[in-house]
Amino acid sequence: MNSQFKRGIIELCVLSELAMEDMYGYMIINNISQHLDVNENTIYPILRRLTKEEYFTTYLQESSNGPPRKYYKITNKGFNYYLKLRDDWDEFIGGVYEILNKGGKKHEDILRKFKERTN
Amino acid sequence: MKTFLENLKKELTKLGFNEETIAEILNDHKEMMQLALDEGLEESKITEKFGDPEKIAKELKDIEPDSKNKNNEYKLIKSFDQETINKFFIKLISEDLKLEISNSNQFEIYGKRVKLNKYNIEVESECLTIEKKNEKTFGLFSFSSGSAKFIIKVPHDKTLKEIDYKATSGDFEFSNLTSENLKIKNVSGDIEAKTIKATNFYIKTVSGDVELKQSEIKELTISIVSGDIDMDLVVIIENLKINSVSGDTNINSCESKEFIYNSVSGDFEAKEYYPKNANLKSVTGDIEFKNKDKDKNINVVSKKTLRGEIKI
Repeated sequence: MNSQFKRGIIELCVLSELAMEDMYGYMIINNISQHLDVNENTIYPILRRLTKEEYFTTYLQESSNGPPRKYYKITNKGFNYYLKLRDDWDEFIGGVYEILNKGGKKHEDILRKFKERTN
Repeated sequence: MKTFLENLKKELTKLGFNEETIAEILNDHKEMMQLALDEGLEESKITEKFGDPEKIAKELKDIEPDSKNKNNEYKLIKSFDQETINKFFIKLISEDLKLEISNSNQFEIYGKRVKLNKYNIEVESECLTIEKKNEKTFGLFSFSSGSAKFIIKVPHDKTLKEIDYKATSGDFEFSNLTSENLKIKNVSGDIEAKTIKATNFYIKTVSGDVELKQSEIKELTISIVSGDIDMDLVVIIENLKINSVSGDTNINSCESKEFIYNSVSGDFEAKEYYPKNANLKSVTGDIEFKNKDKDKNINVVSKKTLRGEIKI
């Protein structure tokens, strides 16, 4: 997949994770990589960039085992940005599905239509 | 992990990161990697899981403002002769805008991280337009390091007829400006104005804050939902109208003939403000004048509150 596109989607996922609760870096990486095939090195720069943009703030919190962890917390600005990005995404993906579904929703549909047309 | 961190440090140093930033990045990686190792990741799989230090460094380089990233500096976009412009029409989304005094007798437009193909910037019938083109791009594709910023430098002593500004989340800051009409509409961006001279000044915002200082305005109307209003040393020759839903209003050393205030739950506090006539209405917010000079009278034409307190 186009890496710019993928980065944008991961950015949306990172925002969504942090919209739910404050998390430390590795937790975000883990949560996202459970669902998507992401290389960890794409997430850290996003965290850093969105923190620079004041969409996130960070704080250190002691953990029961091991050294303190850096938690990321979404700001109001970040939350508004998330809502906007999510709207954009819904609109985009909705449009994509409207196009795709014209040709049928399932493989069988698509295949049947294709056969009908080419036979 | 040690080799990885050493390599990362080497790459970051090569790209000119400062020591403090390097330490921070290394710390963050150390923390993440330790957790991964604790979960049973093998040392030999670190690069596979965390990526190549060289690539990480390059990726991070693009977002560091302290690196020499040309996109992070203001660049002159266009300039126009002072006589050619009388009005501004500005329609932006998340871009911040600042108006400053120009050192020359030209209008100069500067931009930071501005993608020029996304904006209309033109002068027609003495009106300068800066407008974000209406396009169906969507944030996920326009991934960029930070939102764009504009500066318009206005020639000293220039009087504008009108400024019409609309934005969604961008902040708007301006000072030392004279304009007959000022119309500002924003959703969540903040508005900061200082030493302004205007005949009609109209501000409408939802959650942005409004800060107005040392200005002279004939008619001022502010309509706001949850943002706060701060006014300091503002002389209003005729009327001051404030409509606020839940934002607080603070007025310090201001003047006006009429004062019309409407609020639902926001609080209002004024110090050294003696309007001739005042119409005060609030549902649950408090209204308080803390004036020192007890001889100066404020004629309260009407006051209404359901649960708030009015003290004058």
